[in-house]
Amino acid sequence: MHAYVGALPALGRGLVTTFGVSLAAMALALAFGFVLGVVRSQAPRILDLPVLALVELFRGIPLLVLMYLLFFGLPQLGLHASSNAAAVAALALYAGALASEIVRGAIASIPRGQLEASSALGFGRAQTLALVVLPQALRRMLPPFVALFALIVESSSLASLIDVPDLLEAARQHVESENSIALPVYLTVLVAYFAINFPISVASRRLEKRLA
Amino acid sequence: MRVSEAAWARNAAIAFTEFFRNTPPLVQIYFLAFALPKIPGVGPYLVLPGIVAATLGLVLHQGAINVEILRAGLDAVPAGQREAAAALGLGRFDQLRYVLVPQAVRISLPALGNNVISLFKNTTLVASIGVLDLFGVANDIIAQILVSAELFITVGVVYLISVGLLGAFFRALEKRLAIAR
Repeated sequence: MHAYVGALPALGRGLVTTFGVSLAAMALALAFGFVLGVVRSQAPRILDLPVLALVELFRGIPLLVLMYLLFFGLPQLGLHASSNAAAVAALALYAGALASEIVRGAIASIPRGQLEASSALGFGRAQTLALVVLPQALRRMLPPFVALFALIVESSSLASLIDVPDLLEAARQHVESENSIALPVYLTVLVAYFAINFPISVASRRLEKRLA
Repeated sequence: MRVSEAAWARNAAIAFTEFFRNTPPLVQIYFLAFALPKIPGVGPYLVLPGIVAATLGLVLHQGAINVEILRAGLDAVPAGQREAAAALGLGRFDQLRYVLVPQAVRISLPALGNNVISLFKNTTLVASIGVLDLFGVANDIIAQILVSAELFITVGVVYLISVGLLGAFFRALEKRLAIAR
C-alpha cells in the first residue's frame, strides 16, 4: 500500500507528459492535416497523387515502426531527435494523415450548389474556399477531430517504448523496482486513460448528433 | 447484446465496450501480462504466456471497436425491415439472422475493414512484451548488427504492402457483396 502511494506522484508527472505529448502532436497534426487536406481537395491531379502517397504512407505504416524509425533510424543520417521529439513527430505524421482525410471529406461534403451560388456572387476560388466552404466544412470536421484527439492520447502510450517518461513508462518503471504493486499501478493507469478518453469520445458522439 | 431488449445485457455490453475501446491496447496488454498474475489468491493461475496476453489485449480492444461498428450498422438498417420481418412471422432471433444482420454487415463492411487493418498494424505492440513477431525479430537483429534504419524501413514496407493488400481485399469484398439498387 505504501509503495503504491509512493508511486502516485511519478504517475502524476507521467500523466502530465502524456498530455504534453498528445497536445503537441494534436496541434501539429491539425496543421499538417489542414494543409494536405486542402491541397487534396483543391489541387490538380498532378499534385494530388504525391500527397495521396504521403497520406497512405503514414497511415499504412504501424505507428510503432514509424516511431522507432524516427528515434533509432534518423541518427544514422546524423539527425538526432530526443525521444519526446521523435514521439511527437511520429504521432503528428500518423494523426496528420488521418486529419487530412477528415479535412478532405468535410470539404467534399459541401453541396455543389454552394460553390455555384458563391461563384454567381462573383467570389473567386480563394474567397469561395475561405468564406463559403471552410466555415461549413469546419463544423463537420469537429466531431471527427475530437475523436482523433482520443486516438492520439491512446496512441501516445506507445511513446513509452522509446523511453518517453509518459504515464505508462512511469508505471512500468515503478513496477520494475517494486514488483508487488503491479496490480494497483496498472489498474490506476487503465482507469486514468479511460477517465481521459471516455469523456472525449462521448463529446465527439454528442457533437456528431447535434451537428447532424 | 448491444441491441438486446434486456437492460442488464445492454448495460453490461455498453460498459465492456466503452472500457476497452477507451483504453490503450498497449496498457491492456501490460495489464494482462504483468498485473493479472498479482491478483491475490487466483493470480498464480493467471500467468499467461506472452503471446496469449498480447493476443487477448488486441482482441479486447479491436473487438470492442467492432461491437460499436456492428451496432451502428444494425441501427442503420431501416426500422421498416424489422417490422416487415415481424409481419412475416419471424421470431426475434430469425429477424436478426435472416433480415437485419445480413444488411448490417454490408453497411458496416468499410468500417470493419479499417478495423482489421488497424488490428494488423497494432500487432506490432506484441513485440513490447517480448513476443517475436516481424517487428520483434527486426529489433533482435538490430540489437546484434546495430543497423536500424534499413531494417525499420524494410519492416515498414512489408506492413505497407500488407495493408495495401488488405485494403484491396475489403474493397473487392464490398463490391462483391453489394446489393444492386
